[in-house]
Amino acid sequence: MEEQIRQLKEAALSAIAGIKDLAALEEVRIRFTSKKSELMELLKSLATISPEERPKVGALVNEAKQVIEQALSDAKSRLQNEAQVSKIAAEKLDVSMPGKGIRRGHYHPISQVMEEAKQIFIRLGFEIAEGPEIESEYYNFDGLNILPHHPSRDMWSTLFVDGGKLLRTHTSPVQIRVMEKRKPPLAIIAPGRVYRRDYDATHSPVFHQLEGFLVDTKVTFADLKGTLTEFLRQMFGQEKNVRFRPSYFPFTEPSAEVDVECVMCQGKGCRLCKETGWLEILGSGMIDPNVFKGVKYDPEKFSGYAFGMGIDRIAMLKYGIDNIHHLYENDLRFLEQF
Amino acid sequence: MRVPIDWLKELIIFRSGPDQLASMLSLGGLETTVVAEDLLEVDILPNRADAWSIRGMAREVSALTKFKLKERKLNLKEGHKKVSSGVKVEVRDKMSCPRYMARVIENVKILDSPEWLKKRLERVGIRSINNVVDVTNYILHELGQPLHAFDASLITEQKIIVRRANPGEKVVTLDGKEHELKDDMLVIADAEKTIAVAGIMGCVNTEVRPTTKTIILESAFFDPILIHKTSKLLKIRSESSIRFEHGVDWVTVEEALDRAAALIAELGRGVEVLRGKIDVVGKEPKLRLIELRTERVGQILGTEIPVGDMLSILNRLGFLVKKEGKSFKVQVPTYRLMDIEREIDLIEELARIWGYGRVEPTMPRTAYADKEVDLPDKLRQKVQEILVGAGLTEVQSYSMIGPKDFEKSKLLLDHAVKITNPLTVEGSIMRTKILPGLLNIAVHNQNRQVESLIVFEIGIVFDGKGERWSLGGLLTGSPFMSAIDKGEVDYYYLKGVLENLFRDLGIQIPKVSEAKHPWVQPGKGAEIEDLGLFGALHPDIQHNYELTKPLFFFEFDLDSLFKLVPKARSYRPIPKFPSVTRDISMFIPTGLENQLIIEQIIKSGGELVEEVFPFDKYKDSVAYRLIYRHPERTLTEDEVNKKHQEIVQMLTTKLMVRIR
Repeated sequence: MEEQIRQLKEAALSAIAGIKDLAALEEVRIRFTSKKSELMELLKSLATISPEERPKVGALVNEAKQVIEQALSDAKSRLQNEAQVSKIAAEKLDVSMPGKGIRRGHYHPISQVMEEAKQIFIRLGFEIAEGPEIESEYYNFDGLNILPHHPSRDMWSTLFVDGGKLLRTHTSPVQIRVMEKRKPPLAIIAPGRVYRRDYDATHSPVFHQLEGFLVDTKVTFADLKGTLTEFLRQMFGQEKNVRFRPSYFPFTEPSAEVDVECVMCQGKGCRLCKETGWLEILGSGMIDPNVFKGVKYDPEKFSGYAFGMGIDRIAMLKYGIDNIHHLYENDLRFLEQF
Repeated sequence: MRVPIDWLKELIIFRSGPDQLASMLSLGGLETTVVAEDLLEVDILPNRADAWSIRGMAREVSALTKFKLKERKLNLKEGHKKVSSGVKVEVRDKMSCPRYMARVIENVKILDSPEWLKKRLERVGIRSINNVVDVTNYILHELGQPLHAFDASLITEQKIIVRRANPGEKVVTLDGKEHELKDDMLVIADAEKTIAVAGIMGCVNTEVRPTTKTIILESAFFDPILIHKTSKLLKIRSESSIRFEHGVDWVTVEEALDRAAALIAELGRGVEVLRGKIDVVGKEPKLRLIELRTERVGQILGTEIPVGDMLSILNRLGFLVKKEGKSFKVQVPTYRLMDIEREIDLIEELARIWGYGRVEPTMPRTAYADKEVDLPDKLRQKVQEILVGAGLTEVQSYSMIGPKDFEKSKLLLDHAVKITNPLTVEGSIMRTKILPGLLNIAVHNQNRQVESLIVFEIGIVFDGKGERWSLGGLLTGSPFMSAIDKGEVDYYYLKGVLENLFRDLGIQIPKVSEAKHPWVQPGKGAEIEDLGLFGALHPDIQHNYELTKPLFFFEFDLDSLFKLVPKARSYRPIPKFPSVTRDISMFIPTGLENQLIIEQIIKSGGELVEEVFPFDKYKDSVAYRLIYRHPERTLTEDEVNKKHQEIVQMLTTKLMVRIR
């Protein structure tokens, strides 16, 4: 009997050693360790042998069973491991192939700059207002103290439409429209499209402006400087210097042109800033008393400032775009860079 | 305007070098650059009539540096003959010509100018002509007063008449061009003919020529508005018209005439300037006194300029100031009458000479109640965000298109707004829709081998009724990042994008109907009532634009879309009870739309059917999945089976589907 147990054990171990897959292993497990296996039958037949020998043989059978079960378990781990290794090998990829998915969309650079500017002013406490793009001469010119036949009216080359109206040449008409309807305090920005009869590398007949104005009882030129300096530093970088130069606009007095240190040369002088170290970014000033009179505000009681900037120009400076028409050609290879 | 530094130095002494001078002038309000050695280019703002001369610049330098202008003597010897023997002047329109002065100079020899004069004119960009014309140009640049010299022998009856032009009369100006005049233009004439367009340019008929012996020299003040109008109508912008339209200085009219006469006499031998001068005056400008409240300066500027400094600045600028308590009575010099009218104008003068840079920035109060929120602007942002997130790239096209765009895109021209002075025909009509602009963008990209285009634009469109915000989109080619991923956009891809748009805006996906519209390929596009269209672009339009790939588009009225956006959105509780799923496979009769099937199932399902959607489709066979759930209890198998039977029954009898 002892010999029989030994042989069974050997047979099982050699069967296990040669196994190549989990299914075969299962067969071997059934053959050697199930209730109906020879080994288990031997265990059942213990009753037939002498009581003296019983413990010894019983121990042998159990030992054989344990050895076989250990071998089965080892073989199972080995096979599982092998299976995983080969599965991994089979799943090997060229990790450098392109990724999957749809191309993402892009905001137009004008929208990006416009949105950035709007958000800065909203944080500073301004509200957004809008006005029509087809305007009357009154809102676009006369209401802004730009008188007919004055050379200053030539500062804007105007496109006219049927019915004596015109395409607004700036967002400034929104000032008049808001002031006619509401009373101070007012802190307003007016973003939008504007039109001029111009076409060259830096002028497009369609472009975008952001207008802003603030009216209250004690608004000063110093407040104008404070607001615009803060805006330009948030827009172009906190380290940037800002300067204010006297200028002329019919609807502001005093008027100021506002420059920021050149984004390319940091003020040292380069081609972009025409060696001046400064970039002209916006026009501004204290709202002219004549404008207030037109909207029936008392210029002795209220004062205010106004400013306007070209969004296209800022986008061009920010991204180093040398021709404004790139913004309106909408070549996808251009737009996808933003 | 060109300013040679040596010329400037004849009028004022200063120490700054050219770069320093340019920067000082720029920060004072006259943008100045150094264009060549010792030559400045100054950009003169439209309000600064006083700055259009070397002397104007000298005054500016004086105000900025505190150096004084040099005193210059007039060295003019007159002859014995009286000017009245040489010319008679009659001004018929004294409103348009409030001052007309003339001198007569005899024994003039017309020669080349001396070298110094030629060079000086060349430096400011003027071609030398002869010693007389050059002197008039020299004085114009130095003092800002245009002058004109006529050959006296060519003036009929020695008579000068300032009058309105005869309508339709034709003249040939000194540049050799013929112009037809209108009766609201002012001319200088003699007894029989027009000899100059007042303030703009002289005529060839009385031009100074080599044979000229006697000249009549004109110096005048013309109405700026009239000159501006005439200059625009005739399309002549001369050195003279620029100065007259901004407004010349009343006092300099005389000074310039005298200096020119003196210089002409100085340049030739035996020249005789006749005694006296003609001076026909209409309404003389009044002295202008402005009250400046010194406290007001600080209230506007937000910085304190000491009263002593205010006084000094105003004096340097040529204002006469009388102190009266806390106010100044300020008298405006004649050369600033065009732009200094009010207290605020004086405050600007103070600020710019004091220096904008010296005003310390402060922050205004911007916290106040009742601010308005621009909801449409916010929603437009949101639409942008959703569409960019869905893989669409934003474009910006011109708001004006051309008649060809209307024709190619089959848009009606009827209510379009036309530009009366367009730059080009292609940009002569305001767009009534976004789509034509997008199609042009597709053409532009296709011509540059960019085949896939998935774009949108948000913009204003214009029609007879006014301005509306519109949303347009155009999709063609592959939406994928890599070419390894196959597939191109199609109707359902587009619809998916739009469904996401609606969902993200909180709008229930509106009912669609098959679109009948020239833009849409029949059977492959849909319409949403009052909102717009989407689908496959009609092949006719695709061909009109010579686009090679099929395109899918959408265009919606944004104002109408935003009306559907709920003001507030509330949370829907997560279901507490389990759902039961049942599928129905059926053959769909032709023309029966998915949206009707779903609508009918939802209707007949009552509160038990939570959701229905198609999940499998092969030819005319579609499988729908029904999600049964009750919000307050677990459904029993029997309940679901009963309801499901009802629905199947309804589908077969009412919608005539055949269950598979």
